[in-house]
Amino acid sequence: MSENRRRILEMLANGRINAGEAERLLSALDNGPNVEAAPARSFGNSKYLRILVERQPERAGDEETKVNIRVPLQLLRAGVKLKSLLPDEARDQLNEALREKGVAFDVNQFKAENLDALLENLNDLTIDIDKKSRKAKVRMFCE
Amino acid sequence: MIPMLAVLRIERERRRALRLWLPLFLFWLLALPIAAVTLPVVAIVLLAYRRNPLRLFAAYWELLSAASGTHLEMQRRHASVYLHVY
Repeated sequence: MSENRRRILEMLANGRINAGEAERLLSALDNGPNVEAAPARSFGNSKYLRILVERQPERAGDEETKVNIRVPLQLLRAGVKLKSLLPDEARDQLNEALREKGVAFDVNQFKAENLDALLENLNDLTIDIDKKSRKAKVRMFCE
Repeated sequence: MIPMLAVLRIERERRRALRLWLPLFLFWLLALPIAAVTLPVVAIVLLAYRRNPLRLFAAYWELLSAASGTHLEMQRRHASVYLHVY
């Protein structure tokens, strides 16, 4: 069994895609070169954003740290809605504070519909952080 | 539905584990009379700033309702913290 086929079946078994989507992906896989053009998995059934952080011990004898956070997507959506109700002055202050921290992000441009697109693109994202002797792995996915 | 219960567990090596069941519904009952008094004042302030208080209250309610299912877990070798909101 190919790696791609196994991954599709795992996604189906985990409930991350439905049977119809799995069928489409498998048929796209069978068609060979069109596999890259296969439809992205449905994001609509996901309810939570899971964030897993694993930090390796800095030195021998140090402790490994594991963090497991599950945030309801509805909570994120509600937060974005709340943002739209903030007064303009508060949004400007927020933008300024973000800029000071080196984050070039304009909260005025962020809308509720952007959140789904953002999460879909962040889905199953793994970040390896290697800073001096500290190593950490951050994994984000929707479930 | 708004969160009704939260479970907090703190475990430390060589110490007794702390397990707390926090009945949030009791907190909401206590907060209700305070909210009844403060909400009209908040609504007036919001109207003064030309903000729709109903939209804001609805957004807060949605935020509160969506908090159910939040889960936080942190593990180290000698200690761990677990929080789940029901």
